[in-house]
Amino acid sequence: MHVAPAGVFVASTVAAGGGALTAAVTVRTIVRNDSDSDADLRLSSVVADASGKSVARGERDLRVAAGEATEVR
Amino acid sequence: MWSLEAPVLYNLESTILAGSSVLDRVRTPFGIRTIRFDANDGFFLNDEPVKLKGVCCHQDHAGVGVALPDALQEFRIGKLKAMGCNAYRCSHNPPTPELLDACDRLGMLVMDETRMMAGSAEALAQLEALVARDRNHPSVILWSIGNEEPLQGTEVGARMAATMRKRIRKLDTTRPVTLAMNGAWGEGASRIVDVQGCNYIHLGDVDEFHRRFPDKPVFYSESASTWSTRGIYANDTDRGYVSAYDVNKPGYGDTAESNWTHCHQRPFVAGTFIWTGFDYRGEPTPYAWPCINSHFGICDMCGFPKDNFYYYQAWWSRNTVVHILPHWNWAGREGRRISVWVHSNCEEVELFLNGHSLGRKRVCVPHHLERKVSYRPGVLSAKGWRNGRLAAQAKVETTGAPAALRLIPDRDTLLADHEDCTPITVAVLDRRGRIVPTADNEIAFSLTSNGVILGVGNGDPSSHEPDKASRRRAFNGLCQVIVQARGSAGRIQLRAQSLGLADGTLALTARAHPRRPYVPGITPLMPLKIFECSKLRKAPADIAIAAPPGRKLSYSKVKPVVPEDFCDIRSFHGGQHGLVYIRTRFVARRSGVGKLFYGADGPVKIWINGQAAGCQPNASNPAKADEYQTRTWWRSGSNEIIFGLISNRGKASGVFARGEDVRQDAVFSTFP
Repeated sequence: MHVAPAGVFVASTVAAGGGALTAAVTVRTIVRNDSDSDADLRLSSVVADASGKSVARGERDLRVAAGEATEVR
Repeated sequence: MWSLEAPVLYNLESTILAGSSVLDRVRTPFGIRTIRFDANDGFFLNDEPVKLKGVCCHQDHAGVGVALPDALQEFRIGKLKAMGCNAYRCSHNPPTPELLDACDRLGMLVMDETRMMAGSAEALAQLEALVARDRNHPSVILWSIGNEEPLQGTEVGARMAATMRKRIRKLDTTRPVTLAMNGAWGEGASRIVDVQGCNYIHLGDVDEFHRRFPDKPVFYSESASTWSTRGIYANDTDRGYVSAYDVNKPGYGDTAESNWTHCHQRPFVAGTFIWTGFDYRGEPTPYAWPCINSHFGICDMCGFPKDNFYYYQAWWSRNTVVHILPHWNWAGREGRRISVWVHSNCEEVELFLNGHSLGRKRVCVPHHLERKVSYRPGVLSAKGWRNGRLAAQAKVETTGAPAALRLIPDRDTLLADHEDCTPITVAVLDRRGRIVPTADNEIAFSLTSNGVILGVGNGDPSSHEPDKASRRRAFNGLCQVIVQARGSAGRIQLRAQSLGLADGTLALTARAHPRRPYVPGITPLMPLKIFECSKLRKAPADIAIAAPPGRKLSYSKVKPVVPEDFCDIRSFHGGQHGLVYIRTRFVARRSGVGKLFYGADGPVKIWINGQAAGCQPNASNPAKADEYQTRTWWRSGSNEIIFGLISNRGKASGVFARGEDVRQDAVFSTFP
């Protein structure tokens, strides 16, 4: 079970409102199942700032068929 | 937000879990920022207009070639930032990812370029690998699908560009696609790309392009190609040097000043990428061999600034700049008129020779100042004024003869991780501590054992001295030595010596730091482990006249001694005097020149593939591995090695044998 090489893409948009800027981060992740059986997995994505403090997170349960790759958006 | 001044980075941690067990975890650094190209107003970062003040670069540096340690990437990007440069074009191939890491950390925009403009499976695979690998770097703002391709202006070129753009879009919709075109702006692939990349002002008409395509953003993807050699003030065709006044350029190019004036006057031009930030090996135009590196750099091969660095710094950075050229060592030219230039962004500049004012002049944006000064030795100085107040000053002085060396490190603390390194400027000084701008003394370096000299350079485009060396001549007062830490913390002491000059010394601090996970290199010496030995025979009077064994001689296996891989033959002579033949094999995948290293403790003679290959009548006691060596030609496949060993009145214990595995891919076989 792997995050595919170069399989993560992070994009962000910035919106202004109420005198503050808000950033929305969208993540695309390709998860590979290189085993011979289907797998029920959880993908956890955590954004941390430079000091290591986590500032955003997301989780997704997914099933990846044996030998297949799935892109999680 | 990630910006040029404060490049804030975040980390995304992606974890795959099955239940509570972690199966894989990947860390992706990224930045939050917005980018936009506008056809009338140029480039915007986080909705702020940013003129692209860029340079094209090859990854090539003195002393190391293209094998740049990460610390040198950081040094080079830092040097460009100090000039006011905010954009880097990876010309004309994908960069090493560590370069992009440095740009992310330091705040440098990047035009990321694939190597091949084509619709072939191979070209598209390379393009996709590039985009997938680099798309999380906030520094990357543009995907370039190629450079100066003959097909760029044709229908075929347009179709290639469309295919390539489509593939990029699948992987990244957030960055525009461009192509660096030397002409045919508006034709062929031009119609496909999101942003028009123009190479060289004179290879088209950008104003006409903007009128015809008012909705297409445009920038100079390559420009200027000004020639200069650091510290040289007259063209010298014999030595392969070009004057560092901003006057020399190829027909298609521009001086720094005419190029920037053109870009500066056109708000719709998003910016420019100067060819090049640093000199690089090859392309020594306007000369040819024996001149061996380019003159295009704003900095030389070592990253030492040429005078144009200060032109750009004056008009690109926020620093207050006053820079005078040339140097002021013109013995023998007293009374002759010398052209003096000043690069400055002050409002007015006043020039002085030995304290006497030569007059004050207004600076016109973005131009240099120039006047002839009748040479007298001493101090030529300049004061820069803003709002009637002194803002900055500079001077050049007539120096004395070389007297001492000084070592100036870029950083004085290194991580002891076998990787970290720093370039050290080696300056030749006169008695009063001033850099002698014409000095070319040869300098030798010595270093304590906890550091390594990675390489040396001096920026001389015609120097044929080796870069992998511990000595170098200065070129116009300077050379560079790059020192890398090994694995032990402590002080790394460097000494520089030159005949007749006081030594230069420097202590760097190496701080303990874990080494990055790595796969150790394969030792190029392969121990031979499988031996056979004959029965004891009558010894000749002299080992030199021993004959090779007959084909039918029979051998028995020798029990190997581990871990020394020593062939112990004591049980074969049983303490008696005589001769034994010992047989082993070296199996190489490919043929090539190599060596056999061996040790024995009795008179020994060697045959490789039936040919006598060495004789040591005085082989020592006890046997030492690698005591002797013999050069040989390894055949592809099995090579038979036979030792004839005289048992030395029953005292000899055996032999060591190791084959030099030149290509590091030899294998061993058991006997048939």
